[in-house]
Amino acid sequence: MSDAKKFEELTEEQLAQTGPWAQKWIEIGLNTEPADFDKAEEAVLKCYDLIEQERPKAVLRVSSPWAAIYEGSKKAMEIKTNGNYTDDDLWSYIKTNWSNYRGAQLWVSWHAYITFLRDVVGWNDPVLENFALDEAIATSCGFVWWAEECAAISDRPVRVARDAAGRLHHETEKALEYRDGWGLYSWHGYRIPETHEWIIAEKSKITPDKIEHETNAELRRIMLEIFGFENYVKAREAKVISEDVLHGQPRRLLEFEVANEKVRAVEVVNGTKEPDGTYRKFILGCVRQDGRYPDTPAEAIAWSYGINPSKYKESVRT
Amino acid sequence: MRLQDFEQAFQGDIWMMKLPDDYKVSLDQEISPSQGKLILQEGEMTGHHHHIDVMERPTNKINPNWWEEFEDTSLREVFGTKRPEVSSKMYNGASIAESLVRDQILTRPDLVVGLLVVEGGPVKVQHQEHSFIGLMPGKYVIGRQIESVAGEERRVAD
Repeated sequence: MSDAKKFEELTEEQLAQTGPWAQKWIEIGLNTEPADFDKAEEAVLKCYDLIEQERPKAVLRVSSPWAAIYEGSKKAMEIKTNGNYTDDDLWSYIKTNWSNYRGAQLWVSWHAYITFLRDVVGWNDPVLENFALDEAIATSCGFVWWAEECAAISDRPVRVARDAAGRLHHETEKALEYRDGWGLYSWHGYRIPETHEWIIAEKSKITPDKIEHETNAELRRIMLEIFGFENYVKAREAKVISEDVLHGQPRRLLEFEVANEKVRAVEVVNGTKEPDGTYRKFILGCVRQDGRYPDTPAEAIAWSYGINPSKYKESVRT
Repeated sequence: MRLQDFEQAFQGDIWMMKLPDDYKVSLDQEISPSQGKLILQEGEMTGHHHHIDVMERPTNKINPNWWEEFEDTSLREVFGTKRPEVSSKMYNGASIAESLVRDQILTRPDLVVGLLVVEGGPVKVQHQEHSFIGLMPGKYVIGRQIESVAGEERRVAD
């Protein structure tokens, strides 16, 4: 045990360093330079020593976290079985072992916090020697996956794109991309599933038809945002049937023709503000009641919740 | 948030309607919490959900009357005063849905998710992408939202 010393509060000087300290670590987290594989490998091997585990037979240097898990697992299976394994064996191995990783630069909030206590506040403890290994990993590479037989170190990403609020976002490409092309599409922090990557990658393929057939309201909202609300309203020659204002937000009831049939939809806005100060806007297809469409936004919303319009009263919405 | 009888609070695609205290309800088929959370509705793709945390307060095993360790008597009083346990329980909503349709409060019974009973103090209904909604002790009907997509009625999903 070290001599414990309790810090009651930070001095003015220390407080003044919190901002720059956070910024420094955010930059490490967003770093897109090629990894320093030598430095990362040295720290990774010392981690095996630390837990008195024999060093792995192989250390792979790969381009992405996906490759670290996949290639690392393949190598581990090869070593374990002398190459005698099936695809099924490999997938079942991955299912059990994929989560044996360190986030490296993806986890820097933790490193920012510990190094601040160590370097600025003056925290001193033998455990920090062990922490220094993790710090070396975080500052040298993008991700580490490990097993008994093999460790796999991933490069840093080639692109980390964010919106003004700091959420992963890119309008035409993967918001997070690694040098082997693996990555994630993201729209203002909303992770786009693989089935829908085309709505960003090939956005010109979005049509009013495809928007209307999208069953997930959140993805439909994003498709509408990419296509443009007003473009959509124009393309469908939508008429505004009725509009009102609720909680300071406008609601419009629209009517347009789809497949030679008149349908109505209502525009609604989230009650919770986004980090950039905007509100998410959705278009919901109106349900009919007793064979007819609603005549006002209020009626449309009440019916969508199964509430009698005369009893429908939004006291609060978030 | 103190809702009047039959008033509603909305959190995205779910609604909570306050019932009058004397409204007749039957408390059957309790819906049990999962991992310390009472889930009112789960997201389809995001895994986000509308929920109430129902984790029990941990008791201090070494000294159950831990507040006696405070030197300050006012703190001892604040923490040592017995307060009612806050609880929230959810029940099957089928029969309450039928009577609300009969009373013309609802237009259809099939969107009711359950009956929520809050006792002892307010609870927070939370969601990863919405601000929380506080519910005072009372009985609430919880329901969801539907829409028409490509000519078919379906649950609003995120």
